[in-house]
Amino acid sequence: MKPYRCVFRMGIEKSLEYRADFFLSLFSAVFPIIIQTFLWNYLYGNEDAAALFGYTYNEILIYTLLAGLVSKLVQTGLEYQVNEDIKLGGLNKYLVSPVSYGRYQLFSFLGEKAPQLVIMGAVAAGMIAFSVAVLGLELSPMRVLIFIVSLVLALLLNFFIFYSVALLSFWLTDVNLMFGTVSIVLVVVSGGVFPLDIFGEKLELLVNLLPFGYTTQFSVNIINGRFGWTQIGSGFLCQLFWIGFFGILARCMWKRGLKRFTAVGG
Amino acid sequence: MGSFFEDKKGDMSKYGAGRTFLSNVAAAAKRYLHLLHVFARFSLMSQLEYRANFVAGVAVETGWMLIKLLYVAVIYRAGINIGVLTPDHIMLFIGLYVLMTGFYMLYYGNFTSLSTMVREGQLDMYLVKPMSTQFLVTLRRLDFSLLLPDFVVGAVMVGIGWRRAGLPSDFGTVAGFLFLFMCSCLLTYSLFLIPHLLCFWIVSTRGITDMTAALWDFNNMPQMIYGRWMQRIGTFILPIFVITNFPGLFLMGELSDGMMIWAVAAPILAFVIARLVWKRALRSYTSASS
Repeated sequence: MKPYRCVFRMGIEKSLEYRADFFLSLFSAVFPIIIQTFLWNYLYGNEDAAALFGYTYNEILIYTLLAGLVSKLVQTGLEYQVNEDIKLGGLNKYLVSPVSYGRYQLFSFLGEKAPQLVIMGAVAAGMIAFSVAVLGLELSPMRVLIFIVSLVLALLLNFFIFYSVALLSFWLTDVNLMFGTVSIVLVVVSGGVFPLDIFGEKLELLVNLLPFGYTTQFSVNIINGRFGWTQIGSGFLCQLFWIGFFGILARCMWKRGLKRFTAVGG
Repeated sequence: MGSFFEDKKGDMSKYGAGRTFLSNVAAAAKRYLHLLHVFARFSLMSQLEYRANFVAGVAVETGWMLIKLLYVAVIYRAGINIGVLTPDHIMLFIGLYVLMTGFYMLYYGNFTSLSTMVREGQLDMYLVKPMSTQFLVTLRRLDFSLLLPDFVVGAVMVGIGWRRAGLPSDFGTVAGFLFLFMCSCLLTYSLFLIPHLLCFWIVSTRGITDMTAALWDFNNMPQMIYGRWMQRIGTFILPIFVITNFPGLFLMGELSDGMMIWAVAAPILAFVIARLVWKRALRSYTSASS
């Protein structure tokens, strides 16, 4: 485990390398929250929007406050590095080293996320405290604990989804722009902008069946009290299933992709 | 302000000693319009050389548009008015925002690549060219793959919103609308160039890019949705609301004379500030790594 501990530490150092950049990037997550808060205030203040969207005012406001943060927290970025390694042959040095490339990327990703996790955790705690004090959110310590567990699983699920997408680089040489598209579309379908179930039952069913909602929408709906224990239980099973699915998919893609790898430029 | 169109020595005498200042400016403007045309032609040719990349660019921008359209879906689902705006007016406003995003994205890549140019000293090459460095650096690459989806969808949304809201379409209204739209284009360029110029002082600018993108998204909804103080700040201090709200308000006949003057003055003022910051930034350029 020692090499991975070093990789984890390197990840932390990498994310703190440009501190002004790091904090500006975190701060930018606040703006969409402001826009949506104004939107919901307006809609819920002038119409019986609760019946229309299926969320109470408090639920939707807490969703808005936390979805942006969770979506930012689970965001990856490793796909560009993997693509570069495969395209330019940088992968070679990992192949001859006694480390697993997948595990290297995982620990580097977790290391990069650690400082964000600490700061965003503090911001999220502030927002949750605000929701409890001002919006009257009823919260048990058990729900907070389950929320944290779901966040860790969401982080892992998003890692495996993007790692699988990144491994497409074995077959497609320059896919940087495709990563951009995938990442934006996934933010939408994971509920990072709006909870998708406000658009009707069909979309709600789709969100429950597909893996993407389990990276953002599921965790946020645990903390805002929308999900009961049964839904939380089945949600966790789905989250674990999708982590396993993408883990196995990534492993198969790695094995097959490596046979195609020509180590050009390495 | 030191003309944007002047050449390296600020010497315009080569356009003819007997010419007036205005005719010199006109000649320089003509020359730069020609250069812009050349940039556009070369950009399009190089993008069409790699068609898959062009299609991928369209796909990325379509993905972003999906997020903007979600807001329209929410408004139409709620079916309510925002102040004087009906859902059809809101469609027009969001359409304007999508359309303006397309024009912004056309040269946006030049803004984001500025930090790499400064960090790696690539700016040297552009400093010695016989034309305005700001013009060359910020407009040399035009990305039509990002303009295309926004332009098509934005124009359709504006058209539908305009028609369904029953807004006038006589010559004066259309001309005024197009004039304000061009003012908004200038304001967008100037206002969003300024934060990117920070790259001359700080090394990594991903945070700035994220911040400006987030600020830009404030126009995703009409300004009436925000509180009074936010509207004032967004109109007078950081005039981002002027960009997509004013042309729409003009169409509705809701733009007062004072605001009309501000709609023209704000872009000029922002351009002057951007120009001054650019000159100050260029003095801080150290040509490192070149």
